Amino acid sequence: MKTLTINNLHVAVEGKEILKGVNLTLHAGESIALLGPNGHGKSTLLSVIMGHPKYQITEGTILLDGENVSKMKVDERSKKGLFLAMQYPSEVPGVVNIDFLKAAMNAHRDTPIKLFEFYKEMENASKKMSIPMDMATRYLNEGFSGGEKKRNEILQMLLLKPSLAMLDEIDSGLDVDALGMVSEAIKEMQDESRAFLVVSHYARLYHLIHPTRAVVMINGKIVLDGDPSLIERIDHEGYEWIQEELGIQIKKDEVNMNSTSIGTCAIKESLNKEGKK
Amino acid sequence: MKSILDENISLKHEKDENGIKITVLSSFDEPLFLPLINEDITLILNPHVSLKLLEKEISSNQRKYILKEGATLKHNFLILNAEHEENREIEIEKNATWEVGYGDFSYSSYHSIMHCYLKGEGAMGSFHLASLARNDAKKIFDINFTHEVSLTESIMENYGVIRDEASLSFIGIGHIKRGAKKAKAKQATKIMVFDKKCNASASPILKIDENDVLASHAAAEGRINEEHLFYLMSRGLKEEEAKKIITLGYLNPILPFMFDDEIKKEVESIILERM
Ligand SMILES: Nc1ncnc2c1ncn2[C@@H]1O[C@H](COP(=O)(O)OP(=O)(O)OP(=O)(O)O)[C@@H](O)[C@H]1O
Ligand SMILES: [Mg+2]
Repeated sequence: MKTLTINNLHVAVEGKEILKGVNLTLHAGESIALLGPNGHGKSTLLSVIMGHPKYQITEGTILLDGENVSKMKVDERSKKGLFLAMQYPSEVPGVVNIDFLKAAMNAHRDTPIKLFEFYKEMENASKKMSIPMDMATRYLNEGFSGGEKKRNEILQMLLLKPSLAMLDEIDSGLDVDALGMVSEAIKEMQDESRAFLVVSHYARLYHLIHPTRAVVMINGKIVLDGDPSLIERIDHEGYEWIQEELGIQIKKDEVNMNSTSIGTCAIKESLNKEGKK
Repeated sequence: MKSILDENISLKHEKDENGIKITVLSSFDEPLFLPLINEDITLILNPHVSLKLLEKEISSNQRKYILKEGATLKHNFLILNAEHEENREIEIEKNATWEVGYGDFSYSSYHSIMHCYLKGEGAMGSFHLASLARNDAKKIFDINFTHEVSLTESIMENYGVIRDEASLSFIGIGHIKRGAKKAKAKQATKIMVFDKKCNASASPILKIDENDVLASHAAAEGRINEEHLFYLMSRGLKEEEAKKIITLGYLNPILPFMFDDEIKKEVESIILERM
């Protein structure tokens, strides 16, 4: 990949518009910090770029080196070098981690990887992520702790060597050592041929991986696109100042108390989410 | 693998107008198989005898298995072609165990009826089925356990995957009779549906006439998990390949009950091939 261009992207999920005209261009060699308040569409953007079937693009384009990404199947996007480390990686029962990893690596090659070579790469990447080899024989993410799941995502990134790595809150749930390992892995891969799009709520990760640019998403749009000093300012002052300086209203998560269909648990959940801010 | 119909000093074969009667006199370490034969068969495991038995063919004739006190039958089915209705009856006496790993991957329609009677205290029936229905096959698994006395236990786990226009039903009754105190019965049924025209029904029932029992029942039918599919495809796996891997993952809970590594491998490769 050389360039990913997102043009006036509008995205809806179950009829509700989440992204409302995103414009963003990424170049190889860049590491972009994507910030924004909870629920404003960061994960949505990353999932749409990767092709999650839940989202409908209602307007706009995503172009990868001029090619229309939204026409590509999810696996084709992966083969073109896109990678998404998910905010909440799925647990897939019955699918053995190591079999899956081998299948994934083979999907990115013309001829199947030799067993010896595969084990060498696995061992190497597992060591970097401090993932014991016996976790490889367990079912994919099943029963993995929060931090183990995140490390398993980065392990996959190391094995697949994507040219655009999108990392969604990869630092959440990581202990200090694991955060160190993950950021080392990212740093090791940062070079002129690759781009990173990194979502996090904490400056700590960004301090370790040194983004080249920072962008802010509010109300489903990129409202600020600038240098990494944005990270410091948001870390210290939050998002309020953006409202004033740009004259935009930051929408809070709506908690729809009238809706009877979502039930009390869902309300509690969204209240908790609200409280997290 | 040797046939259970062959001459062997540990086996006694008898034949009369009711069919063939095979008595297993002492335990076997190596698994045996039961070939297709158009006769009714009664297989008797003498007390404390253990046997591993593989069946690959479905016969329209009656099959009856009697497990005497303390006997153990590890029973594997690997069905690739089935045209008949099968009818099996199992009697489990005191402290005897029937443990079944049943893999059904045939393309054709098929009706399986099993009646398992737990007749002595400590009798145990443990049944684990994985079935893949494709094309326009109609499959029915009617699996029944009857707890006649106290301290008996049954486990039934049925997993199914349906594609195309096939239909798959898991039915049957887990019956705990009055007086069968401290009996335990567990039923778990899961069917994954791939296509719109599939027809799934997971509806085994528990019938309990005794208060002092432990019984659990779970049944689920659903489509392939979209998040799982997305996750695998986002790592480069083609849709078909991702579906195969997910299916294998869905059906492989029977693998621990297949007694032979060869059979386990065969099951895995058949699932991948027949998906
Ligand atoms: N299936 C859905 N139906 C309705 N709304 C949805 C659905 N999925 C997501 N949303 C909403 O889309 C909005 C954007 O969610 P998204 O996960 O992209 O936010 P985010 O910026 O990543 O937030 P966070 O920082 O909390 O991870 C949220 O308000 C969320 O509730
Ligand atoms: Mg998010």
